[in-house]
Amino acid sequence: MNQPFTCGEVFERLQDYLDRELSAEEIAAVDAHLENCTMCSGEYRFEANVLRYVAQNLAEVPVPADLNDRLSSMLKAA
Amino acid sequence: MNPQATFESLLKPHQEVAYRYAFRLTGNADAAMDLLQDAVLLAYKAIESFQPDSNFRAWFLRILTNRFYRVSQQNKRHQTESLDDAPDLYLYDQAARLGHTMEGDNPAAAILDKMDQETVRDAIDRLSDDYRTVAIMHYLTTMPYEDIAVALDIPIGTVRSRLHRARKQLQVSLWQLAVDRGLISEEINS
Repeated sequence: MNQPFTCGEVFERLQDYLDRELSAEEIAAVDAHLENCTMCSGEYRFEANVLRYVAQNLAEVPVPADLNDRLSSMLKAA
Repeated sequence: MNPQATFESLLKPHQEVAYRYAFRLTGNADAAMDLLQDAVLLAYKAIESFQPDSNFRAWFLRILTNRFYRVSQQNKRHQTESLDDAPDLYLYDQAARLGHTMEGDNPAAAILDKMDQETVRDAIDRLSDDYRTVAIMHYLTTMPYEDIAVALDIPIGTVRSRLHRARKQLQVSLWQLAVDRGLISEEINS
């Protein structure tokens, strides 16, 4: 069994963990640490909240209802 | 299926996210539509260079991003300077300093609920283009670093470093803008 991560090792990987860019083994090790560390799990949940909040706000763009028609007409004329 | 229909079938699943990406890059609907239409035409003419077994979304967003850079350079908007390294967990530290609890599923709510969409948009706009493109693409598409690297024609390590630095700077900007606009008070117990 791998050694569990320390708080510092989790902190170094926090952004990649949020993006699911770690290996399966590293994700499992971070998961295990977060289950047992109140401070790191608080930091993780806070960062995840911020990421989700920014993503949701950026995605709120009204897409023109006729987007598909406009692109299709343009291609037809090309 | 004729060539136009084939191209449209490839494009259609990605055109809305591409529009949103163009909108966030340019800042308004007209410029976003112009950028998207330019990119669609360029992609259509270059479709023979697309490898069928590769990622169409990444390929198309690469064309769109390059077109955006071209227009930005013409408008002298393109910026390539690096970011000063902002501190980690900036908003978390501010929330902790103000005494907010970090328990529960949404510990950031006490701060984020006071912000608004305009503040988020303006914080993103403060990033230079190289950081903004990575951040917006990441937030809007949730593509893995590998695909973003293809879309922006930069190494994966550069995607990672730009994204992480952009996020840190974004948190600083969010806080500064929210304080400047009176959305949040820096005073403890306020």
